[in-house]
Amino acid sequence: MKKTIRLNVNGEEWDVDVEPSDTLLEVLRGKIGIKSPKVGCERGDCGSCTVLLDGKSVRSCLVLAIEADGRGIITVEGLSKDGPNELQRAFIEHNAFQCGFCAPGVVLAVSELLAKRPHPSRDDVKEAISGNLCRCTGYEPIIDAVIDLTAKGEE
Amino acid sequence: MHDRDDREMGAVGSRLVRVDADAKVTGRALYVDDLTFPGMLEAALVLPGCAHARLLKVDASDALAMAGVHAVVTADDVPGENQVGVVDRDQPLLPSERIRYSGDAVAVVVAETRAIAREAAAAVRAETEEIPAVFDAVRAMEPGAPKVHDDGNVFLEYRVRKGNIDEGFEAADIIVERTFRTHHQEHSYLEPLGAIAVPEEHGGVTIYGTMQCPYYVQKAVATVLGLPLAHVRVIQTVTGGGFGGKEDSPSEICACAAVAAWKLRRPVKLIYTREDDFYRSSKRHPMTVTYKLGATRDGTFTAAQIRVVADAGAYSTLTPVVVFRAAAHATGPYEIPNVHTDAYGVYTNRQTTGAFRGFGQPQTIFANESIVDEVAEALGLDPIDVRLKNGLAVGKRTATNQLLTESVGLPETLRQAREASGWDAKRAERGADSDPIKRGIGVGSIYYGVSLGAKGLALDGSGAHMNVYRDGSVRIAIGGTEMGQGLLTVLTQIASDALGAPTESIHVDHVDTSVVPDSGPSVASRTTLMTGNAIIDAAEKLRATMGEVASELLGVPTGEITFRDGRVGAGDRSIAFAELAAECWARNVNTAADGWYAAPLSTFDEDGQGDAYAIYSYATHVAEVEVDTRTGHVRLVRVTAAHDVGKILNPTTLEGQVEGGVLQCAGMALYERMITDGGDILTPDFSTYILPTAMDVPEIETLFIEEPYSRGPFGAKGIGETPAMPGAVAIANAIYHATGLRFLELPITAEAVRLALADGRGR
Repeated sequence: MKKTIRLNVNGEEWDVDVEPSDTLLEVLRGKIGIKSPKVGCERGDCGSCTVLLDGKSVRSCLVLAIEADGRGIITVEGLSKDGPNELQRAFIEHNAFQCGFCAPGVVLAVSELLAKRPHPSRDDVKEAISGNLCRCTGYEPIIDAVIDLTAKGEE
Repeated sequence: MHDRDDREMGAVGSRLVRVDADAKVTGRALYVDDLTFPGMLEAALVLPGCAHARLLKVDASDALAMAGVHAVVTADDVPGENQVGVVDRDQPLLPSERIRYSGDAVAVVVAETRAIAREAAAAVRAETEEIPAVFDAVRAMEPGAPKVHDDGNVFLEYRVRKGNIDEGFEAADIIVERTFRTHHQEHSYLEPLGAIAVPEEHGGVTIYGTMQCPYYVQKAVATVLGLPLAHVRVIQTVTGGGFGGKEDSPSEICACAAVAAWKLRRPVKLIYTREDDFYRSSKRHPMTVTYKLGATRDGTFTAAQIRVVADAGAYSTLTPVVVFRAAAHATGPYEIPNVHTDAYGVYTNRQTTGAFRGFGQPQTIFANESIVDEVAEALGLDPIDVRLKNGLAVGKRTATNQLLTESVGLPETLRQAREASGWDAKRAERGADSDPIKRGIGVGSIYYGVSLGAKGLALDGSGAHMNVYRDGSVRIAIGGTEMGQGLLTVLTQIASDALGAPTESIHVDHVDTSVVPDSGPSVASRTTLMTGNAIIDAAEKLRATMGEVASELLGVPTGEITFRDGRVGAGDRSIAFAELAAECWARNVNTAADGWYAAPLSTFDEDGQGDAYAIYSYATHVAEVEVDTRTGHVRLVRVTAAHDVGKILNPTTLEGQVEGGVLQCAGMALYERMITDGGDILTPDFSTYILPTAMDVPEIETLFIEEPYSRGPFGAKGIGETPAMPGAVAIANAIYHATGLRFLELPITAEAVRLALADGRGR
């Protein structure tokens, strides 16, 4: 039943053998060794496993790996090959995470937003991360980080 | 973002960026589930799901026949004592005869992969015989209620007796009495509980896991394996949130993994599913609190009579200490001359309950702060005026008759929150009757005894080990845990100023129990205080030994030597800290030191009188809401949060603690409702157990008052829990102000508001 699929993960091509029932989250973590997508609920509620699939944020626990065959995946490792990117630096400056478990997913959800809308409103940011749970920060520093960064760009 | 300009003394007080920030935001931080070991197997638990039953047989034959299954571990495989109770010894790790709640696990299935382990766990059949169960603590106290443990359901009682309440109520012009109820609250840390147990060549075991209390885990694992503590090493991995939920529950999961690893002599990883976590982790205690408060016409409180019934669930776990804290603080932060409090811990066949930010206080706070508002209204007085009139201050006495002698910032939190929120104007505002959106503003104040107090004396010391290398870099091992709150960062700042070494040269590690002595739990808002003081103690020892070398080198008397901003010396004669470290190395001078801090003695006699805690933190939250009377939806618009913290160590991490706490208060007040049916949790996930999201964020203003504590590190007191305490009742009081609806139960869901309005209650 195994099938070989090809994934482009953070710009690298991977050929991996998967079971039809394997989720993209399981394959990324277990077979490719990308650990930033976290296992928080395994049912799409928390957003900790968020990755970008062809630029669109998805919960990798709800995507079967074979659905991603031939497609491109970005995780936070891919955003920060030369250290934190400017969005990640804004998160650091604003203390936009504490325990850090939600941080990779939140960063990617915001990345998707900024690709579509470089100068979002606070409501845009809230909506973009409304599917990503964070129990530590109260969300406000996340929103502040994004607004601070994108407002800088406007100046 | 080093904010050096407004620094008073160096690193302490600056906005030092989190030391773990880079790793966490780039995905490099490794949590327990991200780790793997050679030959590691995966495990899953078997939960029969009965609320109360005799366990007749565990039939694992089908599971063992499945490909990839290595073992099904039961009580028979526990080599030591089958016991994980943290205070009372009432909790088997794997029950062999009796199941007392739906979270009890009867077996650990170990397999090649997690998927196989879970599938096999579902194939294990537990033969059980149901016995009558009890699901309500008040009912469990009645004669004839089913007994959860043979000695009876009421296993704990604390009392506080101060003055004479008969006289106190006699002197009152008004008496208000109400009964309030709160329910389970789930911690909902994003990282579920998880553990890896690795058998070691020398015969011991190493445990990796997400946890707040590595020394609890060490004790539990040593007990179930029958090993000396020295053979159990516990290493805390990067921990994805705790909030109290990783105080005692990790002992159970780590012990399960340890027993399995011990049997198979291979590393075993056990990660809970979110549903397992809902079933097995401890919750905030449901409490029924009856509160009677008397006051004279001018608003002076004369007497309080309080009865607290706490639902402990199936095992006592941390209930003895939670109920102690609830009893000691039940009056709220007021001087009341006559107090009569009875607090009970009661077994039921429900989920176990234990630590959650506030530790038993948010439930009694909901009662006392609602009642204070009712008394104020009945007397025609402003709620903040009444709080100021009765509130604790230096020279006043608590319910346990403790004289407060220093660091009491309560009045200032009230004054600043009043001013910043625009309280007086908003309180007087009345919207048009025709407007379906009703606006309200409410207040809640609290006090919180920092650290363990009179019921935790044996645990109330903490250590640190500080090692200065020959290049001047410093590595510090600690006994307190970073769970997201920013501890490693704040301790780096404390160490930097205590040693005069730059923050960049200092590295603080997560806990390894083989390095630092038992430092107690990372709970009770104690870790910055306790571990911070231990670090200061170690630094003082190093300054003494290194200072002698500096004195010789510079020709300056030791008494004049200072360690500051990376330089050591006096006046214009100084050397770099790193140079001094190299010189010490060259002279064979020891540059490692152990630090220790023990909390001062606290007391609490059988009448609940004594100096219950060494020091208290104080806070006031003012909440502003909009209630849509058409839908019942409550929008939290703005929260003003004023906290007396003793001393601000890092404004950024401090604000973070408060903002997160404010939203947890909102969850407790408005959204988070765990619905159960017998032993079943009907809301075992985040699509049915509703947490606040980014859409629910209010505007938050944080205010900090610095009333220094003489024994605190640089004057600091605890902050971990207080942000999660006053907010829920402030919201409830704001809803009352908006609508005239006085809710006696949390959460106040849209449904509850709508139904109350439909009943014709409110204005």
